[in-house]
Formats: sequence, C-alpha cells, structure tokens
Amino acid sequence: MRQFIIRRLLQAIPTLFGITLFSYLLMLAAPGDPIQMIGFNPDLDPQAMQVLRRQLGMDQPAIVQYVYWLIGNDWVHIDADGDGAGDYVDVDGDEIKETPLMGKRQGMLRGDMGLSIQYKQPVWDVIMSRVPKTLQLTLTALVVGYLIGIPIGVYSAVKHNGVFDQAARVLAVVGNAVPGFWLALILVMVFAVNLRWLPTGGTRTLGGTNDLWDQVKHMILPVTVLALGTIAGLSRIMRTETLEVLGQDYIRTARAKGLSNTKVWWAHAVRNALIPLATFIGPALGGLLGGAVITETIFSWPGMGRLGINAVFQRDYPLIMGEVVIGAILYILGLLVSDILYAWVDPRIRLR
Amino acid sequence: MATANQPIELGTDRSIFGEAREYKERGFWANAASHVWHDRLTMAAITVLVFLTFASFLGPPILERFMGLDPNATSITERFLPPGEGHWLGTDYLGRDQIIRLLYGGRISLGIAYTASIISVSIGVIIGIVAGYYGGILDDIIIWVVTTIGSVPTIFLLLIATTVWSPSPEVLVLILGFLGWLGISRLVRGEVLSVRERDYVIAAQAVGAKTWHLMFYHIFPNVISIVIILLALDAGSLILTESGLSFLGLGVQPPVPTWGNMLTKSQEYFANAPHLVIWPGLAITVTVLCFYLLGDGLRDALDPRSERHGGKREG
Repeated sequence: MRQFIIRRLLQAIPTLFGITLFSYLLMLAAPGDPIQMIGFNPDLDPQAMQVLRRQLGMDQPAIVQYVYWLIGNDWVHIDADGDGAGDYVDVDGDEIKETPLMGKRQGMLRGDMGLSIQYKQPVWDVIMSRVPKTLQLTLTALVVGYLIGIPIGVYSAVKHNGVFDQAARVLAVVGNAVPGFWLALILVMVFAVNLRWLPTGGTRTLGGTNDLWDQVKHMILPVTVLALGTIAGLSRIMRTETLEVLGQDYIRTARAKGLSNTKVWWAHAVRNALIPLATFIGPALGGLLGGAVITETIFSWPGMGRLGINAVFQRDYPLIMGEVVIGAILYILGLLVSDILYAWVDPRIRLR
Repeated sequence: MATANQPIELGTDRSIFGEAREYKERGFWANAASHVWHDRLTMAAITVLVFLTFASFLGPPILERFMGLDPNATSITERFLPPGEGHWLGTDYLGRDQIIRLLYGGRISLGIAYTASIISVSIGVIIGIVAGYYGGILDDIIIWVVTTIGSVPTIFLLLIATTVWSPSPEVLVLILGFLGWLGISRLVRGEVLSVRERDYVIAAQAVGAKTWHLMFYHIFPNVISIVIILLALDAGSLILTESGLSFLGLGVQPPVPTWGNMLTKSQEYFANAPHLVIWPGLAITVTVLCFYLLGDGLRDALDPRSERHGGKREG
C-alpha cells in the first residue's frame, strides 16, 4: 500500500510539470498583460509601465518567465531601466555603496507562489482567504447531493419500474441536461425576485446580524444548483449498482434464510452497491475547490471560482498559476484517494 | 464488440422469445437500426433534434421574408415586449425579436455542437487507436499528455483559451474540438487494447496485412459503435459548455446570438421580461436532453453488453 502511494505520487511529478508549463505558455499567449490591465491608472505613463514589466520579469521570453515562476528570480540581476546592464539600488544615497537590484521571488519549488498583481498580497494568502467560503458551498452541496442521490437511487432499484423509479430516471436525465447557470437564473427569478423568499446572492445580509439562519438562506439556492448534478448522476449510478447487486446469489441466500426485505436491502444490497461510489468521491473531492465558477459568479459568492475567473480577466499571472496548481494537485490527490478507498472497501482489489 | 458486422446467430430457443423472430437473419447495423426504430423515446429525441436543426437552418430566411423580422434590428419603442402578435416570443432589451434570434442562435449552437463533436471524436479515435495499437513508449507519452491536460481544471483551460483566441464561432469550434478529445481517446484506447490481441487480428498480421490495413479494416470497425454513441453524448455536453462560456461573455461575442449569450444580460431584467430568461434556457435544455437520450438509445442499440452493465463505463 505504502509503495503504491509513493509510486503514484512520484508519477504525479512529471504530470504537474507538464500542467504548469502548458498553462503558463497558454496564459502568456493571451493578448494583454496585467500591467496593461492596471494601466488605466492615469498616473502610470508608458515608460513607467515598461519599467514595471522589467521589474516583474515580463520582458523575458515565455520560457524564462516560466523558469522564474518555478525556481524564483532572486539570482537574477534586474535591468529595470532597460539599458542592457543590471541596475543598482542606492543605499542611503551614497553612490559607492550600491547594491545590485535582484529579483525577489523564491519560486514555486521553494514554496513561493509569488505576489498577486491585483491584490498586491501573496497568492497563497489570497487563495486561502477564499477557501473557507468555497468549501462552505461545495462541501455542503456534495453532502446534500449524496444524502439525496443515494437513497433515490436505491429506492428506484427496489421499486424497479414503478412510478417512483420512472420519475427518478426522468429527473436524472433532465438534471444532467439542464445548464446549471440557467437553473440558477430561474431559481433567482422565482424565489428571490418574484417571491422574495431568499436573497439573490452574497453570503450574508449586509449590516445584518451574523446569525446562522441568514447564512443558510444565502446558501439554499447555490447549493441546490450545485447539488442537482450530483443527485442526478448518483441516483442513476446507485440505481444500476443496486439492481446489479440485487441479482446476485448472496441476496437470494439472504432471502432464503428468511431475512426481511428491509434487512436484505439495507444490510446486504446497499452496502455492496456503495462500493463503486469510491471511484466517484475522488474526482468530486478534487472538484470541490474549482468546480463552481459559474455558480459563484451568478450568486456573487466570494469563493475560489470567482477569484479564478477574475484572475483570468485581469491577467493576474501568479494568481492564475496558483489556482491551476492547487486545482491540479487536488485533482491528482482525489484520484489517488479514490483508488485507495476502492481497495479499502473492496478487499478483492489489489493495488499494484 | 465482436458482433460488429457479423450476423447475429440465434439459438434454437427462438420460439421461446417471440419477438426474437423479428431480428432473424439481420446484420448488426440493420438490427441496431430496428432497435432504435422501435425505441419510442429515442425516436422522439431524433425527431426533436431534426426539427430544431431544420428550424434553425431554414427558419430564419422564411421568417425574415414573411414576417419582416431581422435579428439585429433594434427598436427603442419595442423593448421588452411580451410574447404576442408580430413577435411570437417577445423582444429583448434592445427591441430585437426573440424568436428569430433564438433560431439564429440555434444555428450557431447546433453548428458548433455538430462540428466540434466531430472534430473531438475524430481526434480522440485516431489518437486512441494509435496509442492502443502501437503501445510501448508512444502509448506512455500519449497517456501522459492526456492525464496532464486532463488534470488542469477544464474551466480554466477554456477560460484561458477563449481569452487567447477571442472566439468567432469557427474559432470556438476549434478550441472546443481540440480540448474535448481526451476522454474519448482513453475510451477508444481501452477498446483497441482488447481488440488488438484477438485471434483474427493476429491472423491478419501473420498473413502480412499492413499496419494501416489492420487499423482500418480490423480495429476501427470495433470502435465504430463507441464512436457513434460518443458523438451524440459529446454534442450534448458541447452545447452545455458552449452556452456556459457564451453566458460568461467568453464564447461567441454579441451581436451574433447564441443561446448562451442571449442569457448574459438576462439577470438585469428579471422583473420586466421573464420570457427572455425562459426561452433560451429551454432551448438549451431540450436540445441537450435530446442528445443525451439519443446517446442512451444508441448505446442500448449498439452495445449489447450495456443491457447487463446498465451503461456503466469507465471515464
């Protein structure tokens, strides 16, 4: 087991290099740069912008910029005025005691994700400030999705081809086909704008007391939108799996022993039908931090997704890369977790 | 998939299954077609898709001619009209008629879905066959590329890609097509890996069949079923992706209408024009639903194993 985990983590290293290089090059290919985006500031003249670019290393070729991002640029002598020679900083105005102007970044490999250009704060801090809000939303949606999706699927299988089953199958197909953003718009229109039962967005009422019910009210609509996909997918999978399990020999044996239906279903069938879910929880965990871009945008939820999309719009290179790296690591870990879970719940499977 | 292109041999118990008589002496494809023909839900989905496609591609000129509608004609006096005479589905915030914009939007959305799914499935199949057939280092490299690109959160890839090449519909097709083949190639590769070791492939190899001949005549027919199913499912997902991107303002740019970007500003006029929120989204949902139903129906018809395994698949 330990060997398996170590090998998988080692295998992830080249993948992570590939991901970051690919994203970096793609990102730099986009027209405009962060300096241009903040360049609407009238105090910045084009020359100052050019100096800023040189200081941030944006005058370098893409691959060099990637290397800076990866291993830092504190070994680089920066040429901010563009005269071809490295610059010096005056220390207490004395020209003799000049020290070379060096880069300040430590680089990803030394745990420094750089400074967000928009927020002028370390990328790590900016992202971590958003993580709790995103988890509050996506984790709730995941739990709600599982708590509703699994029973629906099992009950569908038990009442195979009955009215409930048919209704659940329609719900599953339609739930997969409805675009999340449209569902969000409709829910807001009905419950927030017309009925005025729920707020249109945000995490709590401004100026209001910070009570729990207020926060819950703000979460109802976005959680519904996010959970629907999980419910649709899970109920379908659970239905198929339970049906398959119900056809097995040991179920017949259990019935032959005279066990009650309830006991057969919940103690024997569902437990075994849950096994394949191990493969679904991994990617779901990986998607917890990045999977809500559109929902967060519509409900003005201050989470990772909205942070990411704004970072792309503002060309905030360090922040974009931070989001990509965290998203990719979580995705890879999610897959690993689901493999381990799978082996753990199903002893027939050996990890190699 | 061994049954592809081979007549289905029925056993002696034909009399037990009365309806089995219907399938006798038919080839795989005729059998599948008959299956689909008798599957009411799938036929309904096909009908709706055909209707939507024809309506979007033939409808606009007819409406323009006989009702004097123009997708880009704005009118200050006719803003936010509710559905009614002259404008069957009402007008939008610039006084443009909604039904004609929906139809033009359908052209773009369906056009993108059809072409991008063909592109991504073609790339996926070619790469999947090559990886599965040659194996070895080539396979390792391809799988590495697939996992690598697959590990970047898709939405970020699309966000960045759409800002790099600010998209016209044609460019969007290419972006979606070139980013969509990863999962498909993995599925096809898996299938090819199992087919490659079959006796008849080895026999063909032994009598000196060339590589391209093996790939095209012996391996490709085995993945056709998957390809057809994937085309339908992929078209549905592509409509969802495209409309999501266009909704965020990153896909097809206004004034060219698509179902997604018609919803972009709808958040601002919930109060005075709910019809602007309902119709484009309904168009997306119905279309995607039909593609998914079609995909499921085709899976039942083309993949004999799916009945037992309930369509559970890797990826």
